[in-house]
Amino acid sequence: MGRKRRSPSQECGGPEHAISRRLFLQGAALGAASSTLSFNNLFATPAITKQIKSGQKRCILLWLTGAPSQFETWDPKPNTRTGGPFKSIPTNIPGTHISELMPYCAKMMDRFAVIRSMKTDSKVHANAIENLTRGDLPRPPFTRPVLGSVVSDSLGQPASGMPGFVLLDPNAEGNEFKRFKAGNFNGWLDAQHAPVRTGGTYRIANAFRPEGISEKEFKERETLRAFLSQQYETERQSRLAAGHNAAFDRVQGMMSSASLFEIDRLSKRDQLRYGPGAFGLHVLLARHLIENDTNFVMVANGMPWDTHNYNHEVHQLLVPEFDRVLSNLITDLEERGMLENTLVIAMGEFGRSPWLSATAGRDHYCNAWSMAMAGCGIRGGVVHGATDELGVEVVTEPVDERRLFATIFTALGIDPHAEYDFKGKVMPNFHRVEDKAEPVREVLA
Amino acid sequence: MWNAHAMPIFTEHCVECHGSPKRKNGLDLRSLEGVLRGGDNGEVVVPGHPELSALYEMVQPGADTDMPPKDKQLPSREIKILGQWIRSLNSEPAESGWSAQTSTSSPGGIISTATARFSSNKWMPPSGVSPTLAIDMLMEAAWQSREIKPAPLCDDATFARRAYLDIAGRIPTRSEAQRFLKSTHSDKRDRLIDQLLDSPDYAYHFRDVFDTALMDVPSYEFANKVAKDISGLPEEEKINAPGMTPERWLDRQRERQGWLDYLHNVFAQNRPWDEVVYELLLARPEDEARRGANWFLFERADDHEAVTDAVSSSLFGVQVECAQCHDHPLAPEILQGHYWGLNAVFSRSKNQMTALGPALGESAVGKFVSYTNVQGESFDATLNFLGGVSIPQKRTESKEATDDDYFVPLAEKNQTADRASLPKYSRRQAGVDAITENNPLIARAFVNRVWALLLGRGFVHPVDQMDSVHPPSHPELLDWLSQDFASNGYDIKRLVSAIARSRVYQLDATPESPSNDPSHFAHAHEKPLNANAFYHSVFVAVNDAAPDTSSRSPLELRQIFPSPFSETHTSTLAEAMFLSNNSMMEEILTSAKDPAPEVLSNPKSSESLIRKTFGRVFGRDPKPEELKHVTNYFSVRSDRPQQAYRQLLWAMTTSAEFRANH
Repeated sequence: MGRKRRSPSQECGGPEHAISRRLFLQGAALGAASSTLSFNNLFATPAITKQIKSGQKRCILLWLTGAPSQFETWDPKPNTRTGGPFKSIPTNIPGTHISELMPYCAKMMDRFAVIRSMKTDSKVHANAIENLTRGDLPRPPFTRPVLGSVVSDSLGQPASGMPGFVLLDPNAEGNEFKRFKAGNFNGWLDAQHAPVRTGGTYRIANAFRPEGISEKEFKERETLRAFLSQQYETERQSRLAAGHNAAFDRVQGMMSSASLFEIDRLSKRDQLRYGPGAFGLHVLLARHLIENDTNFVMVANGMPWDTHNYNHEVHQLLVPEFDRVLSNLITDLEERGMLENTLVIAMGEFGRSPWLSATAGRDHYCNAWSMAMAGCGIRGGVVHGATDELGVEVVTEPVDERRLFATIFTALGIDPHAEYDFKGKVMPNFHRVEDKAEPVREVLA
Repeated sequence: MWNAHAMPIFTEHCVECHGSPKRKNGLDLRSLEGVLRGGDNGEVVVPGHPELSALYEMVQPGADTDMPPKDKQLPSREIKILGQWIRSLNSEPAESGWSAQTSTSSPGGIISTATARFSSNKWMPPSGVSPTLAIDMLMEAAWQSREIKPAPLCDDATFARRAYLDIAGRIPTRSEAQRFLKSTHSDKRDRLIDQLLDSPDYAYHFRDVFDTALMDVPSYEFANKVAKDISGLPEEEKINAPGMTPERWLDRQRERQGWLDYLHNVFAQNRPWDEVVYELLLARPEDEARRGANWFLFERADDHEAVTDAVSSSLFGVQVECAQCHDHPLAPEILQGHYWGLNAVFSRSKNQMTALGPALGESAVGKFVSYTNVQGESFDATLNFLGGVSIPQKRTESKEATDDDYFVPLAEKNQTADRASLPKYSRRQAGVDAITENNPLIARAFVNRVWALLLGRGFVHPVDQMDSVHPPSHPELLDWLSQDFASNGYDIKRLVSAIARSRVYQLDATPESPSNDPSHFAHAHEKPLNANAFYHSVFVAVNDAAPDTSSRSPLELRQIFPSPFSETHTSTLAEAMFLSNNSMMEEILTSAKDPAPEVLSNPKSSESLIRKTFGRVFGRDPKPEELKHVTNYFSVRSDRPQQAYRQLLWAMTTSAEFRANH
């Protein structure tokens, strides 16, 4: 079990106090409330130990849409022309510094592997989102499945009836990410590997019993349906019927798990630790879903990171929240004994430019940026690759889309180079990662 | 043997380097012609003599030039197959999966001689026989040559359900089924087919099927694009109106802008399919009543790549997306020039909102289409597409058009004209003429699609990949039916009727031998109902009354149920969740007239009700164990008999048996 660590909540002295009086007030008020409710936590964790022990691997992807700045997070360049106003602080790994906006993660740097030498193909949101969620450049007309679909396919459908892949997103409309969300998630994999989407305006469709039908009646009629349908399946040896009946077999599991998606039902203390923002609450929900047998949760958060204007001010608001939420997530997973089987990934689609725009923003930048991972299969306390003094170019060990995905798959125990089996369908040869791209061994446990 | 044995080996191991775009050593192993032609160093295969064939030598383990290169090695089984195939080349007449242009109709002998030589000789039924007879003769010949015993004909009740679902898009009411079953006419199946083809249900059903085939379910992406081109909508009909989603908005535009009415009239008036194709492509209908044809191109919102893909796959039955960058890697007949030739036909077109509705304008100048292959060579596109004729693009001297270049000038921005711009020389007109003139693919693609709709899979499967990689299961029959369709005025009802009357359509669903390859059509395949057919059939099952088939199911159901033309059918959790919990089912179920409580409490009348219900919903009698199970269900729930009856209807209509047409 992890050492005693003060759980970061808004009541203590983080840099966010300096910036937003509104947040501070909210934080203080909520912090006070949290102490009276904290006993909830005693009951909130242990019920799920049997799944933890099963060793099933899982993954949470914190998808920082819009792309955060590496300068204000994992790769600070203080006192340089490009570094911006924030200082760097030491971490619990001697010699490794990160931005002062991330004090909590700094204290648990031994859990994280950071890649500072991301060098990717596109600095256009729509294209980079595609490339970094699918792990390769497009090859029309074929659509490579997104990471969550591949992991869901590779790890198998949870027996509990929980979905293998969930996408949480507060923002249904109105940003660059929307094309991705309207697009084809599962690509050439079966439709069952598309995500169940919820959050914001999304709800799991048709998850609640129709009005006027009691639970008893609901079960009775399903039993009758199954009897009639099974008769037909057996008599005809029907594949259509087999698929049809198998889908119905999953309905009640899905319905009984629908309440697991209600953030309001989670402990108030946890809501305070992760909230009040939608991103934090969705990360909490992700933890909860992973505890309850979902394999992969992608948490996306609109476009706040796209800081073409006032980069420093916006990062001063956003990074402390990110730091708090991410460190709470790692702590919680560790306390539950789940971190060693749960891979946590935090990244955007690219980084931000060393130079400032006319409106004091940082623009898109894909030549040298950073991302972080922790947990399953990851060697903590490692920084891989480096950028030059001003953060303009990668100077050692560049990592592209393919190598990153090879690393993620390897960390999850999934063969990164396996060829897809299209079961006789005429397709070119595709692999989880093409051209035998090498995983980044240094960050792997 | 090429298609069945040799080609798959080359496809898997060789064409990545010896095909397109890579063609190492000048060798193209995608087609039989290419293999026989050889490479830069001469021939690689000596027909009849594997031992003299360079290709055969190179695939041996440890050969001097070992192919495939590096550590890859063909399995010995496949090397053996290649040897056998090369040996067979002397005796086997050249075959080609691409028979559209080579099909010939030769006067045939009697069916037995045809059968004997079926696999090596293209025997065709004589012209003048009915298409149903041609189907029967050629299917029979194919079964015999493959030594397959087809299933027997299905019984009348099964036929009635099947024909109603396929032609009218719903199951029959009890009295409709009874009328058919009691008929003593020896040709009563033919009569039912005719009756259904003349019913209003037919035109609505085919409208909905072809809405999906030509347009797909409304997409978020095109909704947002085309919304910018539509003006004059009332506030509550706008894409950003409260409660509107982009998909639902687009679905409503298909109604509002005349597309669904247009499609309905195509089938209600049985218009010739070649005329329809021409109208869809040209988007300048002569008759105002056909204005809805414009929507086929208009919805694609000036995305000429999307237009190219939609036209090729939905009207010509081929997918050419990959030929955007290079010749097709596996199907050598599909060239990059075809993609850009088709693209050039439409690339001057522009959506224009006229006073009369959406229309496709065209510029008189500009957009000269050329393309570059992966070797970096550049080519001018000519207006052409597979199977059609080819004409060059006209170069225009000036970059700026004047009013003299137009019959109807290009409208200024934001100005709503009566008519869309029409140049004196219309490249779209010239191109559409070129790609449709005597193009056999238009008939072939349509015949294959209707066959797939009625038989559960196409001769070519999937229906939008009619290329040399996907040879037809019955090439002679596809050729014959396509020619017959074309030479009989592209008469859609005649085609549907001919197929529905054939023996193969009327086979029972239980196979004689369980291992039957589905492409043999030796028994009836299960066909999942499309969303609208399901919706209307649930209504009939519950109310025992004819539904209003002009209405459509909720959009959500159409988004969840797969297209009837998808390559494989997979039931999803979303579908099961919808059928379990969505209010649509409850609304239909509660519309039923509940039987009186005493009917259900009395064992005799209860049994008779169960029998009637099975007859109506499943088109058959209950089996003894089913009768027992349901009777027991009623007796346990005697405190709430009417709900229990409703639950029975729910359980039956959501069962796999109801979900499929079989």
